[in-house]
Amino acid sequence: MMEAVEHPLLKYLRAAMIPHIWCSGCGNGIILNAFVHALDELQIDLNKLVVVSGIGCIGRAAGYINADSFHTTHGRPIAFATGVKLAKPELEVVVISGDGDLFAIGGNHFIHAARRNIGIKVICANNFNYGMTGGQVGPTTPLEALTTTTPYGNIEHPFNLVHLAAASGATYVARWTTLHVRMLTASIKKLLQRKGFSFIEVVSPCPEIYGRHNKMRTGLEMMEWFREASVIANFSDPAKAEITPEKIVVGEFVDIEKPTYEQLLYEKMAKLMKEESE
Amino acid sequence: MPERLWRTPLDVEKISRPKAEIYILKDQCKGCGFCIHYCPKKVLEESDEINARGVHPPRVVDEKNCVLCSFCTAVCPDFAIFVKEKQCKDGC
Amino acid sequence: MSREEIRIGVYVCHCGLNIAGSVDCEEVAEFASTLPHVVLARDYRYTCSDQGQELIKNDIREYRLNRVVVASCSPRLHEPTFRKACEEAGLNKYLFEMANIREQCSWVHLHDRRAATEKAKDLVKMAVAKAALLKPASDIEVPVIRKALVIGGGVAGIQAALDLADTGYKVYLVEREPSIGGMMARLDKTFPTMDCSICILAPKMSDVGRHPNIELLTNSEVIDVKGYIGNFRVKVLKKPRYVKKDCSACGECSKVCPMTAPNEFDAGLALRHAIYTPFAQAVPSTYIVDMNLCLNKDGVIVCDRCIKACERQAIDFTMKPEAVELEVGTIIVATGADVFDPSTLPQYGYGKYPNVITSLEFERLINAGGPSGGRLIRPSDMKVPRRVAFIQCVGSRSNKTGRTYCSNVCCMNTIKDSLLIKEHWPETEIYVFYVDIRAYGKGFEDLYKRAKKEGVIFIRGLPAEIIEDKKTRNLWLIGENTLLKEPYKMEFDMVILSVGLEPRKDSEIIQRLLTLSRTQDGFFMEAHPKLRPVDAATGGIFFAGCAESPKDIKDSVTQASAAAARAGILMAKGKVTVEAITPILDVEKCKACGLCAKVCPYNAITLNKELKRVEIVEAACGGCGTCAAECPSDALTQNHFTDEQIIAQIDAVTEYDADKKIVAFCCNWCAYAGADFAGVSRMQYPPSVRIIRTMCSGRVAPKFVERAFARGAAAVLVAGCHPGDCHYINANYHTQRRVERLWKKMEQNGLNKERLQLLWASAAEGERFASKIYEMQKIVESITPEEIERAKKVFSKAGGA
Repeated sequence: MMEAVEHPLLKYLRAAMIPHIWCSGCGNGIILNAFVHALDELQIDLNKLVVVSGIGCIGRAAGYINADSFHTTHGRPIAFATGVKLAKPELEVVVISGDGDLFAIGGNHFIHAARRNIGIKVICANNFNYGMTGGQVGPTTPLEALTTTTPYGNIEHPFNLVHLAAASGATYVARWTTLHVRMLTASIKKLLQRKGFSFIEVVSPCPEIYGRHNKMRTGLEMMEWFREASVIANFSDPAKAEITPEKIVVGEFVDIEKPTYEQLLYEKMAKLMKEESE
Repeated sequence: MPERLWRTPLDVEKISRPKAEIYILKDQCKGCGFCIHYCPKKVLEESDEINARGVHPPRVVDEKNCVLCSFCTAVCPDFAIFVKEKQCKDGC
Repeated sequence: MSREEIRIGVYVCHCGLNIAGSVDCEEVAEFASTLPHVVLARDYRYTCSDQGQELIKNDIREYRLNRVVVASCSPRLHEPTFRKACEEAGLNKYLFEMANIREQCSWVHLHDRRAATEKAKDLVKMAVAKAALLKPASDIEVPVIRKALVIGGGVAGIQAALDLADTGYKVYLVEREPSIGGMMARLDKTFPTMDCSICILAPKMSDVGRHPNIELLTNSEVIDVKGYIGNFRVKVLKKPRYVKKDCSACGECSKVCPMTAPNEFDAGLALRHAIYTPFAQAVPSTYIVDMNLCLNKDGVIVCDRCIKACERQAIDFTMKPEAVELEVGTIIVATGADVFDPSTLPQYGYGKYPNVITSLEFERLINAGGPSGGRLIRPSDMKVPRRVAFIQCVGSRSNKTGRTYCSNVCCMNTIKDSLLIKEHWPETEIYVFYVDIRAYGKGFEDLYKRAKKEGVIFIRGLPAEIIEDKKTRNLWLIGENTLLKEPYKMEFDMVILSVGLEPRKDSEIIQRLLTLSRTQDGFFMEAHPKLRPVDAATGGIFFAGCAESPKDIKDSVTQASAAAARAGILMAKGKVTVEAITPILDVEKCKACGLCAKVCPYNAITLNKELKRVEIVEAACGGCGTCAAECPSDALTQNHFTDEQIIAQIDAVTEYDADKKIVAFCCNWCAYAGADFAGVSRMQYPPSVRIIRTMCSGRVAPKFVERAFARGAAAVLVAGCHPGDCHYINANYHTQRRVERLWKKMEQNGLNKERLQLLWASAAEGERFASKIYEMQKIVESITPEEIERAKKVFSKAGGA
């Protein structure tokens, strides 16, 4: 039990920024952990990786990963990532952001990027509220949940993110909780090795704010909720996979191949330029 | 075959179990308790000492019980605990 | 039935001099013609002959007979013959009745012509009374599903499945363990040929795995069985392996698994991992995860080493148990036996002394694929022993250990083991301590001689105690050499206990699911030990292997093929005929009390609470009639043995001189057959008894006994099979209960309860039957007229009239 040894995955992180500022039991740390585990298992070349994040606690992830990264304005990581990917399609572009950033203000960017099958990868940390700004209701807050802007219980139906992604045309859709770290890591590995728009929703604990407002004061209580409620069902119908307090359907929902936007773009450009030169 | 299995198996020495070294970065720990709760061999427990953050980091109960499943390493949000396989030169 | 005129024809047979020698047949025929509904009565020399049958057929046509009574030999002999003759003449076979005036009259009363003739008249009168009430009926034909279920995947189950599948039937083979193979897969060599056990078994296992007609369900258990012969609905629970069929059995997952536990297959002498295959030749070869050992047992996947190691991505922790329902026509029970655990015998020190091992542990040690690589070693120091002892009959043939039977295989197993030791380590001294050496089979004696020639020493006298030398861990055996009549105290490096076989500890579950019987030893009971050794008493179910009794591989395989053939008969015919002696329900009277459903040994009656009545599955009915006897509302009666018919027989007997007669109710399979046997053996007994035949003693309702007493009968005998031997599994248990209640009632009313006798007599116990009649004759002679009147009064009140 010595302390002079450094964490084996530290090389994937910006050492000066560690330890991070996330709360005790925050799911963001687990997502970061799973992500760097996946990088390590695949021996990803960090020079070929770009990480883009948005506004929210999870937005700090771009700052913690030891690769070229950008921390964008609220809702715009997908727009920025699209630019990077089209300019340099050989780079691996990963968007790590939150539920409010990607699906409220950034919702439009998401559905069109999915529709166009732009080869960017999106990992969404879904903690059911706007955590960083104090815990306001968001697009994924469950019905009747308590937040600072719904003190009498939320009257809005939440998005079913996997259904939204699948319906928009994403070629890989998966949902895991932070309890399923092993499967999450395996999914991220798949994500990093495939082409086409790929999306993973990670159901993540926010114990300090969402959990505290909704009778789950510690990270452990939220993780236990995940354990009791989650059901692994691979390739089930995403339309039927709404998250309720009793049931969280996790697993992979979609895994298909479609020509990507950048592939089609470059093919068409090459064809036109060839015709022009003839 | 519901027979009573009471003997020490003959190959108990030969089949090697991985031996683990558990590293805890005490001051990096934020006391979430995930590693303690989810360890399948109950190798960790909350210690009595208080670290720089004011929480109780975990401590190892019996390192010999650890089977290197590495779940603690994977689930820790703060990169504060990790296990490594002990490199034995002449048997441990 | 329409008010058609009943026209009965009676035939009194001479049977040469067998009947005519002690009964005046013409007188009986003349008497018969005076009985109500009788239009024709003849006496004839040999009624069962072709001419006799022709006579009956012609009379049926000419005289428009619609009932026929033949007074001759036992119905157990010629009822089918005469029924066929009636059918050929266009008369329904259930409109025929026989009076037994040979085995139960002329042959047992050889020296009293007057009494025999009077008795014969009475018997004819009873038969005519019943015949008048007979109704036509047709046998029920039940289709047989041409699929079979084999429960148990040991060598017996494997052989039965292969035989049935090769014949062309679809077979479901359900095995509880993850792989088939059973006990035989764990042995090293087999006697007497010294074949390598797994080498001869593995090709059969492969055949099962590949056979297009066999569906193999391993890691599965039978949890429910409904239905009846030819139509079983079986629910099987397939427990999850957590590994998909994509598994290539490469073993990479096992290598990285951090959890270990003693391997059951190697009797705990070697380790296996949480993800493992039971043994190298397992069929199916797919690996399996022991979720009790795996780190992921609490619903969280904490360790994914095996998932990462598997190239085929075959590991799936989300698998759930699956229940499937199978429809089969026949079931073969091949569930095998357990091995005796000698820890319960403290004198042998098993479990305390490391160098005392069982014969099963020996098999694993000496097996080249086993935990020690085929080296027979002492567990204490891993050295090869120089002096070993075998102790026979451990857990068998003993009153103290509770297992009184011989386990069949242990003697030969020890002889085989000793030859194996001598083959590899010729210097090792071997002593066998025995009571008897049973080397009865083909080639067994030769093997025994060979062992003795190789220098194995046989000492007749089991050791009373084993004491361990704490330093060397050697063992001192102390006992008496009974042939030399002197005590011995010998030191050995290792002791092998030749443990016996015992019934599976959970055989009760299969027994309950399939309504089987077990013998006193706890093994399953066959329908008849000599003539139907692989049939269960329950139709459509057969036995193979050690489930029925301990046996070696050859006998298991033989029995398996026999069971497959028997099952094949049913499935080849495609239908099974159920005799029309099933219950008749008067729905109006049924009060839905459910008592009949409770007593049915075949679960053929179910209580439908919504419809407020019971429902009868005729095809499952065994025809015992216990339900009819149990019904308190007179709503149930048995076809061809109706309440009216039986009461008519009782009334016919007791019309005259009831106070000198014994009314006896005998069950078709044992007591009646026993009475027949007494006749065949010419045992003589008093002519006061008049026997009424029912299929089972369970048919005898208390009201019949009460009726007999109410009509003034001197004594009543209720006779059936021995408890445990009932042809209808356990129906005679209810007979006992009812008779005991009647005795209580007689005592309470000041009647001599000796007048009602209960007799258990098998078909071979003619002597027992005869002595009982002698015993009861004394009671008949000692009864006073007051007693007769008092009984009449008591039982007439009870509605016996």
